[in-house]
Amino acid sequence: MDTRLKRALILCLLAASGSASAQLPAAGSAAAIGCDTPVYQLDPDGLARARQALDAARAAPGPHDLALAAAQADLAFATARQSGPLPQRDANRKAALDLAERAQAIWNAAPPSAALGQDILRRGRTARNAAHCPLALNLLESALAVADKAGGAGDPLALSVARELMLLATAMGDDPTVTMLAPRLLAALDADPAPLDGANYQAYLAAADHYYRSEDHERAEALVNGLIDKAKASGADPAKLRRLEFERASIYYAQGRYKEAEALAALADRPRARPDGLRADMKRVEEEMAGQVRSGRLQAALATGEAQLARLEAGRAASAAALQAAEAEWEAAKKEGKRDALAAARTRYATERRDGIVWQYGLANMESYVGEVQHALGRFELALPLYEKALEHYPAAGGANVYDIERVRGDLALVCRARGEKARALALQQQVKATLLPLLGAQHPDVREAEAQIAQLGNAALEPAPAPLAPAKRKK
Amino acid sequence: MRPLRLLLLLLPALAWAAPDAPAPYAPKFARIAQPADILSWDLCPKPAYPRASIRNEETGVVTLSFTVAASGHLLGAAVARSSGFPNLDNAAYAALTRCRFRPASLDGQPVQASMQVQYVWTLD
Repeated sequence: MDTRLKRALILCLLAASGSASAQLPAAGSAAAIGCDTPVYQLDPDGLARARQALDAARAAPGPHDLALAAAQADLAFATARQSGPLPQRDANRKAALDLAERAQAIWNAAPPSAALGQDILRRGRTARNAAHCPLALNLLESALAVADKAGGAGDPLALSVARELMLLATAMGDDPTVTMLAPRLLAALDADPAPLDGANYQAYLAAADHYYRSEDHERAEALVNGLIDKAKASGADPAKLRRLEFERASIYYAQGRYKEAEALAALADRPRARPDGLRADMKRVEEEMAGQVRSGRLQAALATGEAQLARLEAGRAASAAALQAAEAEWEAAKKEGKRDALAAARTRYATERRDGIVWQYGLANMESYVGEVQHALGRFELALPLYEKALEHYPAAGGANVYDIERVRGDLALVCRARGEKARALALQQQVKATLLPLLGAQHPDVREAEAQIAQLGNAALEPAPAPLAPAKRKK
Repeated sequence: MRPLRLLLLLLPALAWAAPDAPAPYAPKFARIAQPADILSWDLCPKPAYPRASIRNEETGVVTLSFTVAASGHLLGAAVARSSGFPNLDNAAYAALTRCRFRPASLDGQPVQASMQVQYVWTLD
């Protein structure tokens, strides 16, 4: 890896409408355990030595076979980290786990002691630090079993191993292990003598996160409250306390305790970039319209929207002309070959292109909003072409506009249905479902709404078709 | 008898062609007063730059669309615009799914809403 490379990640949160954007600081990460890229090393000599040591240990396995178990664990690690082609590495990993399981059987049968627990913990850490996570998990589980037997579940060594195992299992996404450890950490938190920092703290947070994601909010809250109490008692820094309050806020949201959550979330520091003038103007009008709709003044919202539509159409036309001029200027600069002029022309072209997309996006949004107001007023014949235009005008056919587009398509389907165009409504709802289902899953309300519409429209379509009318006979 | 039979034949056709009584429609764009948000970036694990991406000098911008339920839970997330590199897209997606969210609100009540976030990966 080139050490000169600086790696950066910038996070930007965009409003749903896409009209506002903000750059937010990248936050500090949790204690990271990487499992995706294990460290491999071609070391045939090391492997040969570990094999010889195992042979020797077989001949002299030591008291309770502990020398044999140690040699098996050493060979397991030496095997796992051997580099080679992928199939060979896979075979090595399986062989290493097999050896570790044999060592585990010996350790489980041996008289437990803190020294043995410490020794296995050290081996587990070595494997974890080389990102050989399955092997590390096996070793840490062995260490925990030995420490539990040696000192009981409340023993500081056992607790230390449990915390490390929790972090490793979380990094691996090993849910059964996390599920097994979370209650243990919840029970141990109050009496845990270890300082609440670094990996210790992260392990408890991982347990709270497990409960949050399992929707066991009572236990999640109990853990977070316990962490807050301990943090306060130990004079923790305000940033840590604030983070824990956000954690508590997220649990309150999930419990439906919205006002309490909002009170805690208000502490959040959300630096936002100010939207530029064009976007800010669009946003202001959209908010004004939304306020008018919410207060039931649909006609006022319509007037606001139609005036804005006229402005946006004019703005988009001017923007298209400016883009054309910028493109011509850039082409001319290319022919002249002057570096400064070329750079300036390229910048202008890029700016005009970006502005053009903003105008087009704003126009598509406003067409759909005015369409929605007409729709709410029951003027389907006026809503329909506005929805159609909006679908045509969104800058990208999918991608970043996917939710906007499918929202409009769903509305268009409702208008078609209200107008009696059931076949078209059905096709549109099927399109909404086909787009959103892989993105959002079957349980998402938007997907379920599309499905409900499809079911209703499909049932209507299954009704017996009318028999063709016989030509009326003229009366003679 | 003939006019009655004709009427009976026409009824199914009318039933098919007649518009539904449309359900009252409330404009969707006005539903959200306060958009959903990342609750705190402190609770969002910063994704590690994938080692393979560093090796291959992959950079780019990933736009993720996501929907936050009224409970603050993430209902769904998807790569709306790819960086062009699956490793970067996947790392951003995995990080977003670990975040906690503040739900959107309307008239003081939490509601479901969709948002977008961009992860900008750069190597200097």
